[in-house]
Amino acid sequence: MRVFHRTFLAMNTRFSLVIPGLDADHGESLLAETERYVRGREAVMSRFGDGLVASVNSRASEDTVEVSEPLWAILMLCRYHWNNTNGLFDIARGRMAAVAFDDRRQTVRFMAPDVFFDLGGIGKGIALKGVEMLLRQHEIENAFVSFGESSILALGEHPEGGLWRVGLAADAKMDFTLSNEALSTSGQTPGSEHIIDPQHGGWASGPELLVVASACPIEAEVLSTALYIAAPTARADILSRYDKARWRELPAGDEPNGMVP
Amino acid sequence: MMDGIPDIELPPRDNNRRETLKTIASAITGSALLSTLPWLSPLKAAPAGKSPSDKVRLGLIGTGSRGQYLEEHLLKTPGAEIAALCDVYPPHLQAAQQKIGKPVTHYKDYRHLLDDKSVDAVIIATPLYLHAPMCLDALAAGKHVFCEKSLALTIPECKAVARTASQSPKVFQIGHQRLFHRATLYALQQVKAGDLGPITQIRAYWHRNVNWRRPVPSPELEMLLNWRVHRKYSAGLMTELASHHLQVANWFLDSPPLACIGYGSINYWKDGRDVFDNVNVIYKYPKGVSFIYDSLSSNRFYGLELQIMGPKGTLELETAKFYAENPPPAPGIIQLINQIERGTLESVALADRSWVPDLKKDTKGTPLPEDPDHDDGTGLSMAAFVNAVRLGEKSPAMIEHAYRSGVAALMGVIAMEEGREVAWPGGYA
Repeated sequence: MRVFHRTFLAMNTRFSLVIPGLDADHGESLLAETERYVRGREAVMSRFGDGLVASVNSRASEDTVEVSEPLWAILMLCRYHWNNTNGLFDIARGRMAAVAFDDRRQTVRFMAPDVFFDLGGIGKGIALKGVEMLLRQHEIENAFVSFGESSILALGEHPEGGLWRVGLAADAKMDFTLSNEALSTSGQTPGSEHIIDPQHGGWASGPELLVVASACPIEAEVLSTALYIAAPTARADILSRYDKARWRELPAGDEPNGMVP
Repeated sequence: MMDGIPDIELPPRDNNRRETLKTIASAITGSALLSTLPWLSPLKAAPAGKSPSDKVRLGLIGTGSRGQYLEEHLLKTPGAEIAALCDVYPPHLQAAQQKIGKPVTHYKDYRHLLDDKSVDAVIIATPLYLHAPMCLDALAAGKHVFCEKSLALTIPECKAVARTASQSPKVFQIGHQRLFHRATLYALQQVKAGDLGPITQIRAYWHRNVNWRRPVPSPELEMLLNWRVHRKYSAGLMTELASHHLQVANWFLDSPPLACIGYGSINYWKDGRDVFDNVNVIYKYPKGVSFIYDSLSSNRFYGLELQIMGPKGTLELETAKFYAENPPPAPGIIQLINQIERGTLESVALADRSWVPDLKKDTKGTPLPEDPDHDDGTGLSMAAFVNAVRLGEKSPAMIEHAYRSGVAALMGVIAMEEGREVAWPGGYA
């Protein structure tokens, strides 16, 4: 079977779109629309260059900053998940409590020095949610999207029938079967750590890799970070607020655990 | 293989040059590439046999370092016989003679070599100021001519040589070996296949930390041995180095430059030379494309490179690498695509920590295919010249390449020396 596929750079990683059975003309047109959409999301969420988050970060320590609607909606979503994960999913790198949100005026103010927003833990999930809607608008039923290999969306079925099967790069036998679901991974790379534990402000230490599958790409993203940071005994409480998720972990230097629950 | 163009599978390097040429001959015979790369056409002939009638008798004029380098290639080229040598400097002549391993006729005056009726063709590897008179005299004497780059010391000389060569029935070739360099040929096909998108800029540099001088046994030999640093005999870095990269820019952009501007100076080697020790020139090409060139004699950190850039990728020809702007898919995605195309369903090894792109400094790029013998094109260009003479096959494209690059190099020199924009001076007809 022919398969349309393209890969491009976005959000400092690679975005791969794979659509079985789609002809090249339709594929290129859909790719262009997808790329425009993802770059638009990047422009809102990036904390570098001309990104809206960069603009807020540069001013909110000094002043109350009015936030435009697209970014405000994302910040509210992040605040919701911050509450739901007992503060472990924190776009202010452990300092969310020091951010003053004015819901009526849609403004933010950082109430402590060195506070800034970083949407790296949710941005790809938000983009994937939008890409899912875009593909459905174009009546694409079966598609596979990988955003940096750490955020994956599998729509419909594999062309051979049945579910898409996604394993870990390090161990394909540890796999998830997906249909209309997203997969998100979290893990630290020694020397390039990026996940902060809000409970002490230092680098989080978790398993080698933690993988979450969920019908919602955003929830998959939030949960992979929160469960990575959470003590094993704290995970059940967080998961009780997310009914669509499955997860697994690859313990450091150990064999994979079984699927939970 | 790329889009109708064979990527020639060359034999491993322990095979001899004859085997390599046989492989090339069989690969390009009837190939579409001969219409776009006509100077390769002589290579479609099988390598010459050992009979005397198969031999092309060559006279080598100029036996300095470059002349001896060409000589080494000629000694390995089927059908080439070095029949005569010529140089005014005895130590070079003796060294060239020793490489052949048997006595051959030698001359001090190149005009006497041209009078030698047993010589079919000449290889000219002399200082730049001698290229035009020697080429014109050789063509007038009925010799086929291979002359080292750059074409000539002045633009009027370039016009005269190109015009005479185009009107002569004899083969004329300039030493632009990149026209025969396997990786460069492959890169050109990548450009034609759209792998870069339209070329938006070419940038090249050639940086060395050398004074470019040779030891002189006695003062009267200064001009003879160090001609490169004296403007009367040389146009300096632009003709000696930049002309190679200009030839590639003209070739890949399919046009000579429209104009150029530049600055040059002597800012380090203040040793009596009167050619610039650093040059910095920007050439304007059609469609708003620029070729940016600089060359230094006082720093070698960046070495040399030729970068061809477009919205989809970058080719670096000196290191023979291609860098795509878009990253390659993850191995797991390739696995998935292969499965779908084959009609199988298995778990793909994909999920991982987030992939981060390499920076230019540590990305590996995609290697372009290289000649197993690491021939930079010189070996093949010698073989093509010898075969062209044997077959009596002229290539007008070779003259055009020689003219465009030779003139473009001199435009840069004039722009720097006169502090003005220099326009393309037109053709040579």
